[in-house]
Formats: sequence, C-alpha cells, structure tokens
Amino acid sequence: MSIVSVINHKGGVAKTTTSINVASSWAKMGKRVLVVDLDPQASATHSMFGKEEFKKTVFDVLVNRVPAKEAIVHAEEFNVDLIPSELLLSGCDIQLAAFYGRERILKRALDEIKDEYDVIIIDCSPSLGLLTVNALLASKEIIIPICPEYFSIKGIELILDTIKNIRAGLGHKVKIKGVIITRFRNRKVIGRVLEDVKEAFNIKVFKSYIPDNISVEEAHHNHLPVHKYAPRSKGSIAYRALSKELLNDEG
Amino acid sequence: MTKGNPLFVDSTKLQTDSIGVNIELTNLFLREGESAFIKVTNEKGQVNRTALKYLEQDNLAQGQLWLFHQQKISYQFYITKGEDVLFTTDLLESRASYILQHQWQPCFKMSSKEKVKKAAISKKPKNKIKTQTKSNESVSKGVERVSSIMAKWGF
Repeated sequence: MSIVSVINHKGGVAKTTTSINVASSWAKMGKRVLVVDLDPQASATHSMFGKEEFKKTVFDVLVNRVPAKEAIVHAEEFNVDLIPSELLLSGCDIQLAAFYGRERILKRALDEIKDEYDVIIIDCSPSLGLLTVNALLASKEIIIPICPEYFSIKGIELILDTIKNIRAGLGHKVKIKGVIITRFRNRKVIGRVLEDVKEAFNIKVFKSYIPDNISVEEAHHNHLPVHKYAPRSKGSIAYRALSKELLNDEG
Repeated sequence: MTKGNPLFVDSTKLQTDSIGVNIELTNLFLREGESAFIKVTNEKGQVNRTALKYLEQDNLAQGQLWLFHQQKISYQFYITKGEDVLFTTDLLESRASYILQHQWQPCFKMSSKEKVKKAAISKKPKNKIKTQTKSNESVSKGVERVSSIMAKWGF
C-alpha cells in the first residue's frame, strides 16, 4: 500500500478518527506514515495539534506550490508526519480552477516525497470538489468508512460514481480497498448493512468493525491516539485489529 | 446527452488534442463466429469504426479509438456474424474522454403467453438487423424479437 485516501461524501462517519488512529497504529508497528489533512475543517490537524497554527500548510502546497517537504510537521504523540490543513483551504477550488493540470497538483507534490514513507494517508473532505479529485488522482487505493444506516449506502453510491467519472474523464483508475463499518451501536444493524452492501456493490467490507466508543472522542480532545489514551477501550482494540487487517490485506 | 461535470475534465488537454479513448462493452456474451464493433460519428459527420477484442473470461469487449478531447460524439455498438449485423444498441451520445463504457443489455426471459405466440411468429421471415429499443415498442414487435432471440439461444 502506498497512497490511500479515506473518503466518504457523507460527514460524521469517522474519516478523520479512522485516518489518524490507523496511521498511529501503523507507526507503532514500525511503518513510516504521513497523514495529509485535505479537509478545510482541519479535523486531523486539530486532533493532533490542538489550536496550534502552522506557517505552511497543504494550502501552500497546492496553491503556492510550496514543496510538500516544507509543510511537513511531526506529531510526536501519534508518531506520524502530517501535512496540516487550515480554513483557507475552503477557497482552494476557486483558486485552482484556472490552473493547468489542476487535478494533479497534489499528486505531483506527493511524488517528490512518497519514497520517504511506507504509506501516505489522505484524510479527505466530505464535499466533492477539486480537493477530492486531487486526492483520488494522487491515490492508488481508497477506504470508505460508513456508519450503519441508510444514507451510508448512498455515500458509497456517490463515491462509486465519482470514481467512475474520474476514470472516464481523467483516465485514472483507483482501487477500492474496502469499506470500514464505524460508530456502530447495534450488531444486528451491521448484518443488514453487510447484506445491503454485498447485494448492491461488489466491495470488500473489513471484518474489524469500530464501535461508537466515548474513549475515541475523548482521545481526540486530548490530542492523543486512542491506543495511547485508552489502550484497553473497545475503540482502541477495534482500531488495532483494523490496522492489522488493513496491512495484511495487500492486493 | 447528459450534463458534463467540469471537475472531471482533463485541464491539460485542449479540444484540438487527440486522445486514446478506451472502449469497453461489458456484460457481453458472444458465440462462436460473432464479433463486436463500435461506430462513432463526430459533429462533422465523420465516422470511425473499430472492431472490439472479446475477452471471454470477463464478458467484455475492448478497443481503442483516437478522438478529439471532449468532442461531441454519437456512437453505436453492434454484433455481427459474418456479413450480417445481428444486434445493435440505440444511438448513444457522449463527449470523447478516456473511457467509453457501455453495458450490453442482456436478453430478457419470455413469459408463458409469449411462448404460445412464438410458434406462430417463428415462421415469419426474420429481419437480419435486430435493434434494441426502449419499452414503448408494440407488443407484437417485442414478441417477435423475443422469439428470435429465444430461438437463437436455444430456449
């Protein structure tokens, strides 16, 4: 696995939580990991660094063509590198619209540094725009977190449509690594969701489901990965299992 | 023609740039001796035809054409056997991009009433060219087509 985007056009499905906790688990297993926060809300950045502001962010990489290496910061508690985000990224679509090769700016930036990492995780914004297109064109694979409810299936449909359009219009094929079930409360609902996903799409669903666990939320507020904040919590155990399952799923 | 989303348009290509368009006809089952083709017509009426390579293991036919980026095109897939055109799709419209994909419509099952009518209709001369049309065609034409398809597939 080299560059993977964590993506869903629906918000609140634990994209950021999954990105940073899986990244940190992989780092704990000895992998060199870079997280790219591509969301103007900068959730991954705030989770790792709180209110700290950065001189150079992913905005500068995309719009001002700053080399990606100059925007990288190291998150000690997570033991991963991060290209942080900021709210200014919300205006990125307008600024990039007239750029030549606007779809591949992130890919070109990451090409310069990707050999320094075992894996790069891109935490995507829920909205469909140039940022998401850049993430998908930079990625070899995507992971789709979903919450077990009706509209999560709709989220998968939207992603599949986006991938189809990317392939047709931009000639780039991105593989769907699989779907992760997050924030579940009732195992019975998972069964129904699994059936729906299997019936409607031919996509793998990872067996490690992430429960809706307060420790995960609290870990965010304490700017720690859940495996450090509450190592024996259900959330921590689930994310460790998921991280192993993702690593073992090569191909 | 469906609306195009500018998000998915390659900004590095001009409309005068020629691109290799990969063609995919999915959900396709070809019998021995049958071939799949695509015919593409651009806005100026220029016609491009190419044979598609059938990949039996994937039930897919593939090919490639060089077209101008984002050029408006109309296209049609057809199945031939020797000199005869057996099936065609409707005339489809799109803009030339990197992939032109279409799902071949599968044969539909005949109802018991249609089976009774098949015996009488199968004696009628068959048209060489069969066209897939939308559901608002008359019942008799539909039954005639079903009977020829069923005869072809040996049901």
